[in-house]
Amino acid sequence: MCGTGFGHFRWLAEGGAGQDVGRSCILVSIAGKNVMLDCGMHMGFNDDRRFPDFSYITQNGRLTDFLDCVIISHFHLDHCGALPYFSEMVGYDGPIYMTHPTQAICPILLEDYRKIAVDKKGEANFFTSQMIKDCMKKVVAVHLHQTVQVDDELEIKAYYAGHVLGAAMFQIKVGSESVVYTGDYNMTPDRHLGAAWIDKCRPNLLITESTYATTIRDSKRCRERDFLKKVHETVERGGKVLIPVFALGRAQELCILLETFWERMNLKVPIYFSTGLTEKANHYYKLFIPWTNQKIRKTFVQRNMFEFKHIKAFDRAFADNPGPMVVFATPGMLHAGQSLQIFRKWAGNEKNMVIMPGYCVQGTVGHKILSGQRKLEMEGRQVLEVKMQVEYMSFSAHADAKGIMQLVGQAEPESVLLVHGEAKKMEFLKQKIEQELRVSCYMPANGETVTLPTSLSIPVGISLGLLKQEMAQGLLPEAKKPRLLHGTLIMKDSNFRLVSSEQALKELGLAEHQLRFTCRVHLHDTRKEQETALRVYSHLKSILKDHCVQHLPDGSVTVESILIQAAAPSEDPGTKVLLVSWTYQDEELGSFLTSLLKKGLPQALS
Amino acid sequence: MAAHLKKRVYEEFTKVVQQQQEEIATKKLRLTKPSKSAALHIDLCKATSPADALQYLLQFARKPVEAESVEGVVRILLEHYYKENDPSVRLKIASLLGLLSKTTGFSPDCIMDDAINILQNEKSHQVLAQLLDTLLAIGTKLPENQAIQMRLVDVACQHLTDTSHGVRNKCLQLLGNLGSLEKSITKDAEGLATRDVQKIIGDYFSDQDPRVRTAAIKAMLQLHERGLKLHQTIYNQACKLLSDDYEQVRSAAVQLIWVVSQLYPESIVPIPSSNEEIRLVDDAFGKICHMVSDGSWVVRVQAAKLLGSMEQVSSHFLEQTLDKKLMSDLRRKRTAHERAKELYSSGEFSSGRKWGDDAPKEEVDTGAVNLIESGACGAFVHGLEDEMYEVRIAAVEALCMLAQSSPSFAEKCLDFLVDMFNDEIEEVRLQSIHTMRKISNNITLREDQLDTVLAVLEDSSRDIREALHELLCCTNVSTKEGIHLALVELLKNLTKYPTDRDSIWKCLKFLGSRHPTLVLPLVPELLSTHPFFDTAEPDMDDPACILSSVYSPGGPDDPLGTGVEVRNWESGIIVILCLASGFIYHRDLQRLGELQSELAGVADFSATYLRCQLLLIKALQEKLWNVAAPLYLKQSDLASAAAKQIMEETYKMEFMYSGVENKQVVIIHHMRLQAKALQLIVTARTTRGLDPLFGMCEKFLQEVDFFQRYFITDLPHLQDSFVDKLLDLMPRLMTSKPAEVVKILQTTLRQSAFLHLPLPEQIHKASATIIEPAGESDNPLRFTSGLVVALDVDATLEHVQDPQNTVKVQVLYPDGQAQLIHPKPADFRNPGPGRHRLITQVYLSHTAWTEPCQVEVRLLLSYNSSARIPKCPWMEGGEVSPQVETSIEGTIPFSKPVKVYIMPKPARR
Repeated sequence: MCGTGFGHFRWLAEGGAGQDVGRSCILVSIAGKNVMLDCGMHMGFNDDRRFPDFSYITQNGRLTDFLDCVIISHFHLDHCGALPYFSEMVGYDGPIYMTHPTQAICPILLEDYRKIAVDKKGEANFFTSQMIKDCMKKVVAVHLHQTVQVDDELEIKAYYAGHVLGAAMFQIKVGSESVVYTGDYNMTPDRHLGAAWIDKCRPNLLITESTYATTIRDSKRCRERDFLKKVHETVERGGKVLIPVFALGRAQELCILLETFWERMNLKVPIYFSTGLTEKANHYYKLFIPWTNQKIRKTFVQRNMFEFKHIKAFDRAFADNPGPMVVFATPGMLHAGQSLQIFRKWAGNEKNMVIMPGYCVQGTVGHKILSGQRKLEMEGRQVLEVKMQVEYMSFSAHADAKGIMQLVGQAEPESVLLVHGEAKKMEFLKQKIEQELRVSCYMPANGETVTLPTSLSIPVGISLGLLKQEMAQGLLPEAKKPRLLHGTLIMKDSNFRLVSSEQALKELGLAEHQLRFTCRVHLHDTRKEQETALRVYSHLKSILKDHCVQHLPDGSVTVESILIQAAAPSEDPGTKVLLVSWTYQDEELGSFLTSLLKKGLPQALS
Repeated sequence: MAAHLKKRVYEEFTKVVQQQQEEIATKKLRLTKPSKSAALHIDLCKATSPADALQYLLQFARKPVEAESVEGVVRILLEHYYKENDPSVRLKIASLLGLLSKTTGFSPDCIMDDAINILQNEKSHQVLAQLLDTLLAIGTKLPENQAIQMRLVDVACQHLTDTSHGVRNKCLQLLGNLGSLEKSITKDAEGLATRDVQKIIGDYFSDQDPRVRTAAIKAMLQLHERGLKLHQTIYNQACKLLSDDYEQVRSAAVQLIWVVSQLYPESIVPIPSSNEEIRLVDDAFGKICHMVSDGSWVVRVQAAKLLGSMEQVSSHFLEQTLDKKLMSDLRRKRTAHERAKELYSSGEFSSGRKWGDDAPKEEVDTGAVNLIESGACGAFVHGLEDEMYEVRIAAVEALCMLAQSSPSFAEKCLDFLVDMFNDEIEEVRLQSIHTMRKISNNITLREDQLDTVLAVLEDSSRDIREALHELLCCTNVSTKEGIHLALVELLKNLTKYPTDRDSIWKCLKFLGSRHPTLVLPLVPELLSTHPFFDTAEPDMDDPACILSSVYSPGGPDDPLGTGVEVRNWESGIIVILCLASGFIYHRDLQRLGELQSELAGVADFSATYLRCQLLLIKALQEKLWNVAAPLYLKQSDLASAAAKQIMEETYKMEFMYSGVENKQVVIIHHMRLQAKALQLIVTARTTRGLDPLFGMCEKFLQEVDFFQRYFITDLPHLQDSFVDKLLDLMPRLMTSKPAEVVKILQTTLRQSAFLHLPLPEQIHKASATIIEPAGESDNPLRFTSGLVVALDVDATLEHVQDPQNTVKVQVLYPDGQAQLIHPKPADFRNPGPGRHRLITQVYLSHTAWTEPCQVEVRLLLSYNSSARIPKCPWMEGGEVSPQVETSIEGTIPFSKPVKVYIMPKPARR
């Protein structure tokens, strides 16, 4: 029984360029249910292109009627930035699912972003604080591995994804069809988060990010060691270290890294963290210990790793203090704000050092100094000479090609769909997945729809009596091997049942019809009928050892329930006709017998 | 119940009266016996509900049953089993049957028929499973009886088709434990179908229930453990199980693959989807490597652990495990390790890192890149980066084992081990440092690697630093600069953590003696003096000075002449010990011990024994014995002192030496017996009245009896000895009066021959040195009286067995008050074989003193002579035998006492 009718994927606008600046928004229709996965915004645009084009989903009619639910994988703005716009300005009242940490941190980031967009850049037609609050009221928080029943048929389940605090992969399941959406994930654990993990859920489709589709990364330990060595050497020399970071994610990882190192090495040099958003975020990190890695989870009873001993809040005045120090400052690309201010103060001293832990967009100060520029033109025609050391360390939290393959191997999907990456790179990974895992793979462009047929399995109830009867007959039950079974399928009220034929007859009130096959076999034998029958009997007896062969007094022979009679046709005394008759149920044995008899009897031994 | 109680009390009462004179211990046990089964019977009959019956059974199970009464109890249980309708009670009875059949001294073949019988009629799956478990217990109890085993295997095969997984599990377990090993035997025994146990178990690898699949694999492993050679065909089946949905199946399958790979390492297996063939061990290695990135961490730990023991794997595959082909945007990239190596070899080692320094170079052929199927590729890279520290530790251990067997691999894995020094979990860091030390013979550290290693010297954990010092003791450094770097870092370490002094000096000493040629050019620089301008002796506490003196390689061309003490080996004549020929005076032995440290233990041990013997002879030669009349004067001081000392020495011999075998224990106990005899004689001569003597004689005879019972097997070696003669006279002794006993003892003691001590192979004397407190401080430790002060104690222990239970700290206050402190088990560390380190805190407290005074701190070795003696047999069989806390019988001081100056001040109001 095969059915098609598995949904299609609508692939909404998704900027492929850059690493963290795309916008994710995927629409999945699965067995008649519509689910929107992530609702991201594009940081590169300041106009309408910033948000996905939601009119694409439904031309007329309300979104709430069309969508069954919205799922947000994690709190990065390219995955949740358009949420208030979508729910409040476009209008959606259905449930929005996300994990607890995401629910806690998401509004902070949205509010922060709104402030920059509206208060600083003075944009109109943007969502307001109230809208963020209203939007968050529609959120339903889920736990890891908790199966949430969205409605009678649709259920979702979250898996740990690493990447950032609270990041999750979601399994969406309707009946026997299922889809897994990974969001962003990381297969190598870091200092504060564990590795992504999924069980062998064998979904029909796995939608995975593919940011690093063509990269296999080096061990994290070398990078960490390098980082620590650089920082340590600089502070020992009496220099100052500036680490420009974004408020959430990598910042916490580096903090933990330095904090534990300071603890281990008994260092006394102060470490500062710029205040504001980060403080709030750190508070949440402290609360969501179950979402962190093994070490933090195991030791938090003695001490919460996010309650930093060595890291203190930064004050503007500290930058001029003499002596060594380490400062984490926002933003991460040195384009504005506190990090740039500090940079300007410290750039002139060759003892100091700046460590860029991430990617820098072209045009920012960060990018300039990384590409080796030593003289920077600042505003007011001022030239800043950079004497301090400039270091680059990449601490990325996306899975690399090997990691993606590993996850696909773990989940064992029927097919894979690659999103969130560059087409050229995805092409390579697609080829690899098809080659090495033998799984079909898709990579739709923005706005493209992929339809995937699925083999529909229909559950059929089987009566216990029939099953037991079958078990009693059969040999060892073998796992995972199909087995033939006789029974009657009753379809009644969209309800399938497999019962024994007797029961079916009884239930339907039908009388049983006997079906008999009869067959004549001509034998060349000159002897009398009785003797022929006797010969047939002894012949069959010698061959069919494990069947019950009987010679009845009336001259006929029975094998189980098959009747064989010998008759002499009047015209030819040299041939005898054997009448073989069997019921429909004994078809197998009956046909075997006839073919056996057709070969003739062996010559009598006497 | 009341009636029964009454009966029991009556019984006990009467018997106790009868037996008060002799051997109370053994008879008392017998007394409860008849009532045991009877009581159970009565209890069970009275039980009105299944819950009641269950309660009685549970109560019954708490008490041990002795071997003779087991059969009776079993009969009663079986009887109730047939009558019982409630499956839970039947289950408990079945489990009791299993427990009872394990009783030592009881042969369970008589209950087997019954067990099989009730098995055939049982309907409940749980009870069935429990009964099979009982049969397993019976079967394992009778390993020689082939017929029974065959029968049990048959029973198991019959029930294999059961629908319950529990029953199938137990059947497989039974097959694994009892399935006959050689096929020939099964063939000989006609009438019984030939069963290929392996085939039967193998069929259940594809059972529908994961628990049964696991049990099947475990049964297979059990067969292997029992010595059956598994077929190679199992390999393919096991490989399929590696992709099972359930972690316990995968975990067991990994083990099975490992077993097969060890059995058939050299057979050739084809690689699927190609025409090539590889060795089985290589193939298995690849498969297990693949499991290092499994979804379940249990499997990952298992896989990582097993990798370590696959030494036959080809080096090509081995080296792949550390290789992870890096790429970035489809271009080949070098790893940081490769880059570091290159930088080092090109001589630009401290160049700063630039943006794009690691820019990928050549293009990668997209077709040639394999992302997963590369088997062993990068297994350790993944294992060492794993989220769970259990996996990381297992991976480090495996690395260690593989590197020990392959020097080239050791060289390669170095970078990874060095990286592990920065792990977030201290245990992992420590483990990797230890690992590095173990493989240090095969490796030479590059300067950049040394740099990373030395950075860890600043770690705040003492264990880590000390492990690192030990590592440096046995590392090879390639250049002079490396040595210099190490030296500078160690000095830095010393200033930061002055408590590491001893460890650092030791480290420097070994480092110096390991690299004499590299150190030589550094010496003038280190001392910042020219050897010609020899100034006044430098301050000996200046660390650098100490360094140079230990650093100097020694020998004739030593520039400063301050080499380490060179042993005068000419005088170290090797003396072959031949104690049988007579006495070597123990002083000679002690001298020998000083000369040859490896013989010190033996020499000391025999010297002690000789000293005891000499003391005994001296005591017996005392004049006072010649006086026939009992001597009531205190003139026997010498003899009683000798007896006391011999006792002490024998305890020392028994408990202070590691490697003492049973042979020696007998001799030591014998010596102690002699000392006790001596004591008895002396007491008899010095005390008035017979009453105390009665008790002493009794006790002594008990001791003799005890000796005879526990060393019964060794008695033939003790011919002509004291105890030998004593045992001959035993019947006479039992009946005679104390005075007579004493007389007999005296003559036997004099006539008995000297027993010579067979020397054990390896024997070491336990010793301890207290490093801290050093006892040098003149500043008293001040604290308010009534409150406590914590004193850090740091000591090294050598050759102490089970220090967690035996080593105690004693604090002696000036007023004679002594305090015994039991350090926590966690305070003991084990840095190497035979060595322990005790780092603990001792709390001192006292009432106020007028002036500071010294307290003595020392280490004691506690002992309990009865701990050596095997426990009574029924105690181990019973499931609830409460572990008797080994009490301390006495203590031996085994370290020099250290004085600590303290001053409890009166509390201020």
